[in-house]
Amino acid sequence: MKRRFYCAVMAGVMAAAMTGCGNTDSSKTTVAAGTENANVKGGELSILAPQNSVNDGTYAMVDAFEKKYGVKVSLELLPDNEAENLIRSRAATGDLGDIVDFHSGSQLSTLSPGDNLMDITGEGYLKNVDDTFLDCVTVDGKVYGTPVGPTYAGGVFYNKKIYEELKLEVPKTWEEFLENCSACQNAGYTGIIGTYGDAWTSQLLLLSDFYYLNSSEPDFAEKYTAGEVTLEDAPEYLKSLEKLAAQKEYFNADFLSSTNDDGCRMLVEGKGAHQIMRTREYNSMVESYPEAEELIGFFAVPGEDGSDSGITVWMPHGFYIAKNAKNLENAKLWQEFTTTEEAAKAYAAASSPMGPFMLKGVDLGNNVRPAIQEVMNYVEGRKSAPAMEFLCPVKGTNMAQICVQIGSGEISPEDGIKALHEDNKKSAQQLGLEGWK
Amino acid sequence: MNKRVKRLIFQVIAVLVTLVAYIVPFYFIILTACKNKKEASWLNLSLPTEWKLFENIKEVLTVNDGMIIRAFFNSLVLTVCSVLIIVVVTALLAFVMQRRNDRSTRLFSLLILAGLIVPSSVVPTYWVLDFLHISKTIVGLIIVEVALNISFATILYRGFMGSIPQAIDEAAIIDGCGTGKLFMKIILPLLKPVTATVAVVSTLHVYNDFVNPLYYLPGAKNATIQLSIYYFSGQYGSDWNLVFADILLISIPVVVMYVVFNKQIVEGMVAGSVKG
Amino acid sequence: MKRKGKHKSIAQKIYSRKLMLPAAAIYVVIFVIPTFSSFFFSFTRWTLKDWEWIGLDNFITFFQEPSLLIGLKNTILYGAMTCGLKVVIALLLAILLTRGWKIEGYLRTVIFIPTIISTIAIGLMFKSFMHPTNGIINQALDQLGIGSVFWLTDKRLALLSVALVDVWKGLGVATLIYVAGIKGIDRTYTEAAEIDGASGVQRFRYITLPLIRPAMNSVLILSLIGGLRNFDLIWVMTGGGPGFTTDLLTTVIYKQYANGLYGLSTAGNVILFLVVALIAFPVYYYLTKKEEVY
Repeated sequence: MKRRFYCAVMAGVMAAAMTGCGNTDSSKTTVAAGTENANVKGGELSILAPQNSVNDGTYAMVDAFEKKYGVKVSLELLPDNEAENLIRSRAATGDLGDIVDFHSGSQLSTLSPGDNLMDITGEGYLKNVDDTFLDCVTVDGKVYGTPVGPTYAGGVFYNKKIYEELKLEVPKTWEEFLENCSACQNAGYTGIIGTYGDAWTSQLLLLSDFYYLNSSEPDFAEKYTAGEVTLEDAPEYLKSLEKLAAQKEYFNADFLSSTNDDGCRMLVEGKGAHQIMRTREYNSMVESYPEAEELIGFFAVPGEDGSDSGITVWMPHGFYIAKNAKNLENAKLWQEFTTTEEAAKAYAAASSPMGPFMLKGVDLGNNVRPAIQEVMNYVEGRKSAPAMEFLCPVKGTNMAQICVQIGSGEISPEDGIKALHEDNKKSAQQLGLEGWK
Repeated sequence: MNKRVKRLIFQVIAVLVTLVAYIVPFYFIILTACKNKKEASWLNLSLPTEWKLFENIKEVLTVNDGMIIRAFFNSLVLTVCSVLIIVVVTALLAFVMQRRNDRSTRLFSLLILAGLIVPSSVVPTYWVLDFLHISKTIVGLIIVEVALNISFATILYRGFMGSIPQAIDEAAIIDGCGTGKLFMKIILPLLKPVTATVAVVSTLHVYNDFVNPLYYLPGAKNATIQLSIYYFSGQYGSDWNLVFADILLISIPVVVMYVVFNKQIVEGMVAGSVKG
Repeated sequence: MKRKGKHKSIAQKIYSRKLMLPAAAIYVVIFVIPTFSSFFFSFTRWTLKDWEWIGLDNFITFFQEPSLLIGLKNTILYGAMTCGLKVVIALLLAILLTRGWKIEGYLRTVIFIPTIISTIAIGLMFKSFMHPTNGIINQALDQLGIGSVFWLTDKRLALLSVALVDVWKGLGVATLIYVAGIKGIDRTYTEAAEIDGASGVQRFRYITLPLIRPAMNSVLILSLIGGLRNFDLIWVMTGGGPGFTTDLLTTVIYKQYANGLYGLSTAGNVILFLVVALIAFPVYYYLTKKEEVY
């Protein structure tokens, strides 16, 4: 009896829901018959992407693609925290669809590209793609992907108003940076805004500092991959961890709970002077606080002696073709499209880029935000290095937590470096890397 | 007099405590759903400077081509079918298991208990579904949801079966009842409270489950309703106003269900007593 | 088929095992087989497509996890806290809800609200409530003159804070189960006892309490196992942090899974299963022995 009643109610609700069911088609196509006949390919294309990888720029590219080729694109978005697990499971069960958006660099290996993705080595459109990126989507000598969007860079974002007020200058060395922080603290501002409430932000200083390690030992990443050296063999690595530990003195009291959002708010409202993050977070910040565009500046994490300074650049995700893609032709067409200036411009028009594109000959002009312009200056001056995870496939599972421990003073940099290495070892063994077994 | 005053004080305290413990969070949800993105990101109880409840709801409903409405439909079908099957199938199972207390049923009950402890493994389950040719279908997903809820439902049913004296069965059998009649006319009505509980809790489990549909029924058009929250909340930042507006919308069917069942639980039960 | 007395064979016919079939079939085929076969992979290095036999290596690696001991300790603590609190508080609430008070309808609805909201939403909400400076809890405490409490970042408090939220959410269902149990008690028992002069407390202790044993056992075992296996709430609220201080076995396993260490995380699941089983099975056995079958 209860069941019948339940059924009746639910049937009623279902009926109501069905009448509310309008267009169940997720396409945004307007196939304009007769306008671009030569290009109309028709057909469909499915794209699988993590939700945080997709923004207005991506939608703009999809729209432009649909209009140009008359292809119906269906975009399936996955929740961030489950996206990687899901994509790997789908790969194992053969359900990737046509195109999948996934990490480039070290994480790409976890998707077993040899088994699951289509090898596109030698495709003509790869000529348009920057070599650094191509290296990041190459596994075992085979190329797999094209970039999903611009790169982004990490460094120190600072509140220009506080600098003006305290007559501070952009620091050239790490010592000067800490002195600036002191000055800010004395004036009642938070020296460095810590946002360990979002554990992943704890890594950003370490990762952004990689430029200096890479400059002093350009082949470290390669040797590390081959298992020939440990992290302790690179003195710069320990120095980066020491910088990490040095921050604590200047952190806000609630640094362990503050999220990245909280931090941005503090930076814009002038409660804190510096926040170490990436242009990606900066873009988000500007969306919520438009005044940030003029108010917040950027400089690279300073080096030890001031002779050199550079930034670390994160590569965008890649668009990869599933090995069993049904719409193979359209998939390749999509990859090609993403390497064109047309796509980059469509993207940039809808979503202000967070860094330069990994495409040759794409000029964004002066249409970028001031902080991003600073980033571009570093890149053009060849003062940049890709983050370590893009040069070396080894990255442990607990890096964020270990960085939190170092940054909060719970463990020393010396213990931290050992812990990180042990952590990396597990992943390296999982990948079956020689030299790590 | 003393007793009445005591009772009154008790009730007042209860209301106050629940007010703080329960109403405040709920108020927070509604309040945040009314704010714009910036103020919502502060996640506090400040009053919104602009009331954007309708805009937020509209945005939630139209994102990604009204995906939410499709998802709602999907979730509803999934939930209703799964719960119906769960209730029928586990009531029967628990009935036999409790009454027929022999080695096989005892062994099986250990297996059921294990089911509460062990997490299911996605890829092998997928392979089994594939083998049965029901992978990537809604039937396959429904069966998975049923399988995952059998453990707890059986434990609940079995426990309550224990409070129905076997004497009743015997009386009915003597009166000439077969299994069917015994179960449908005598046992099941007595299990109304438990059935209501199992139905309510299973509904919540299945309705709130967003992981399994993603694994077993992939595809943008198959999205379920919990997924929509993630459209507004990502690893790197969230639109909290939209998140909570979405939560409000999602919760409506469950509230409806709960109100409906609440009556059933209250009414159906007192009559559930026995002896005759 | 064994030949027992006439009575027994009727029982066997009435309580036919065939009725178990639908549930048993679904359960065994869709759950038991895949899950236990996945245990095989705990002895391999697994990429979901290929596997390579490595014997007990995964288990050794798992036992060398830096946060294993913390995880184990926290898991047991968390399970005990949430179970204990739920069993007791839900019973008290259920009693309140069955006295025929006027505010009963309001109370029942209100207690159930948290159950309706998804765990993720609740986790996010309370995480923001518990923020040391911006969170409304500390702001309220500030008004009362008490200082800030670091709910989620103080090592001693963090686990408890999450446990409290877990209990807050779980009370709805637990109370529901108790209420079902209480309402199922025949009025005549309590009335007879009242006539005989038993006080409220005595009626509760000697009539109500024994008769709701099944309900209490259900709540106990479900919340114990649920607590030991909790993942969603801790993950959303602390992610096992800060650092590793609130790691549970489940979060340790999840982190491995999320990084593609499938063989290792499956080995972790096997270990988790053993730990929980070692605690839960004896408890269940003890409880069902005490359950009376009339």
